[in-house]
Amino acid sequence: MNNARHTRSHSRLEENDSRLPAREPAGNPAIETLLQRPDLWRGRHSPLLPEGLSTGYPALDARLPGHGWPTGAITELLCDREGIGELHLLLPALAALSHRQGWIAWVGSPHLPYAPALAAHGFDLARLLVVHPSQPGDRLWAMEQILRSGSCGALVGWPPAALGERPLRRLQLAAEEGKAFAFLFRPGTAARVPSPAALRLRLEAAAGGLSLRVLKSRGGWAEGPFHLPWHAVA
Amino acid sequence: MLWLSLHLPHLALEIFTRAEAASDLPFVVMEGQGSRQRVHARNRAAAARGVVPGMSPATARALLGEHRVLPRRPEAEESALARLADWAGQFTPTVSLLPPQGLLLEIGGSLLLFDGVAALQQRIQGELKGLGYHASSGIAPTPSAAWLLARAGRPAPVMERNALRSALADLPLGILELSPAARATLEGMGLRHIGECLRLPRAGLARRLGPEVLHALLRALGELPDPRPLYLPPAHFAARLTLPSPVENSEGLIFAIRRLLDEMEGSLRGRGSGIRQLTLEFHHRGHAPSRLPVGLLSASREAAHLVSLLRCRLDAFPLPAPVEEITLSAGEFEPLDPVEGDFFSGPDAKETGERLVERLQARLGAGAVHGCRLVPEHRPERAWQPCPPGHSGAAAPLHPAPRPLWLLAPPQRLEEEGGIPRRNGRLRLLQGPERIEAGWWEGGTARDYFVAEDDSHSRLWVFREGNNVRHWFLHGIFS
Repeated sequence: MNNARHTRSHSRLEENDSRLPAREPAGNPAIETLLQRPDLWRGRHSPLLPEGLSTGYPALDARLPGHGWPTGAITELLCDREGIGELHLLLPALAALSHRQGWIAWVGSPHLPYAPALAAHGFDLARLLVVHPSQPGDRLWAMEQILRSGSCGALVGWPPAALGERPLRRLQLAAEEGKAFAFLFRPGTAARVPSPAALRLRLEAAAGGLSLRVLKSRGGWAEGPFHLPWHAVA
Repeated sequence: MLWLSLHLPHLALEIFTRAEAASDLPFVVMEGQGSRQRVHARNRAAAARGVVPGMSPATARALLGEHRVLPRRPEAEESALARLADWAGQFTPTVSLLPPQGLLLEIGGSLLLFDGVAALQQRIQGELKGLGYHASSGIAPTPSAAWLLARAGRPAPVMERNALRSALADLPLGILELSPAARATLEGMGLRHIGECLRLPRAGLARRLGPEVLHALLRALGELPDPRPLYLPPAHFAARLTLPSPVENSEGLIFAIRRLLDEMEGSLRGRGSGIRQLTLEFHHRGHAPSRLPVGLLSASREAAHLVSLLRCRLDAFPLPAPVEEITLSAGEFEPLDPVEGDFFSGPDAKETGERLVERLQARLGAGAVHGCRLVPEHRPERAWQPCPPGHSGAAAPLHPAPRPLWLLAPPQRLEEEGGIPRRNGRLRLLQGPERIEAGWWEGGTARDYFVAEDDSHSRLWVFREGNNVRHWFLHGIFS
């Protein structure tokens, strides 16, 4: 039923698009500049939302504004268990990014990423940068340096559990400045605390796939849990 | 030909005071030996406290305190001048020394590259100030005239030879480096300025004062040849900076190191080279010097980047005592690409990528930052290796079979129940067995790998190993 509602709203969107130029007052520069502001919410129609990076899963793309992972911003992935497919969710996008310029950095991961598996998913290992600092403070420092550098395509990070709003905001600004994708894995309890991330997803295990809930989405709105099936194992 | 001359009147002071930022701390340099030491030079703050040249050291120390009075170092002044000549090589290949306090640069060939005389003069003086030196400059078509203008403090450039007579006319005769006898004779004749000397008949001048005065004037006017020996830069860069008072905090050290790095950057730019390795030595009183080596992934000369690397390294570098002297020695010169970062609109992506890795490694240690490389091996834990980031080689993975994204090292032993492994409940074996048998020469045994799922839908990679008694292990997590 969710899908039906989406297709209806999409078609209504197209009607709105064709009608919109006629509705706008002709040549009023003040209103034009106002309408061009990116922080102006106009329902589902956000003309200036930058195109996101396709997640590789069309069902998820359809639910995200920008039809993909937000550029230059933090995506928070909240999950309590490992092995439910949390990295699998990111892999198509990361593999695509690894063929462009810029490092794909893994900071503070709970285990070392296994290179043969990454290569099997189409990841170009020449872009892989694994960083595992021994101090938790160094983890945040490394994340900020990597995001801000401008030479990072994407960062996959496991920040320390008690992450305040100010460090998150710094990371958000660093991601904007360096135009990088930042994916932060955090525990489920972090959902209770507001965060400046552009996208927050709650991940839960489900048979044959993953159960996702959009907790927060910039330019869109929260969605109830939906099931994302895998097509094959690994 | 156009010559620019630099006069550094406060060199004896500045080789010390350039190491600090605050100029309101007094500092004094002493000359002479033993009981005949006298104040040679003092900075503005010391003058404000009442120190005058010629004062005895005891009085100066009483006014200022023990640390701010140091003996003069003529050899340090010489080497500082030589390093400045090296640094000036980035503006022109023709540099001469005018010891003890001067430099000569032939800038006729550099005007096009540096946008004209005024821009070049301003840039040189500005960058010298950035190195901690205050110099006056003079520009003229002959080297002697340029030097005279610099000593007299006349920065306005003289571009034509026929303008030289009028430009030099009102300079006092004292700036010609003459013997006291000649100077006394000139004063006795009532001559004060160069212009007056030039109006006298030349033959009479030579007879009265000896040829040196006339020759000095004719060289300045360009009527006699004035060849200058070329300064040849050495094959290595090594610089030493004595701090006016011992420094403990890292910001003070970074300031002093930055001065040295800026000098090095200028010298390297003049040679079109970079370095890949440099060593800093910190000298303390009563302790052995502490050495800090720094290595780079690719040749560089940018002082800004090196300072940020050093800042990270210094944070973790223990210093046993306050630092009195810093020595910088650079490794071998390597040719650097002539195109630098801001020639194009954006920075070179590969270079910033390497810079990022260098910065991370400087703070976190080289072992904490790496890439991964594939190894053609059957045993899963050996099928990869850490490697320098970006140098992963072109190998392809051996197995089309499923591999988990996380590999546990070492594999975790699992409990079992009735031959089925348990981890938070019984595991369901979904795929397998995949038999991997290798390393028999190292005592390895066959392993049967399975993809398993637990009660909370986590996918795991488990194996059963052993010949007689077969144990279950968890080797990876499909994430």
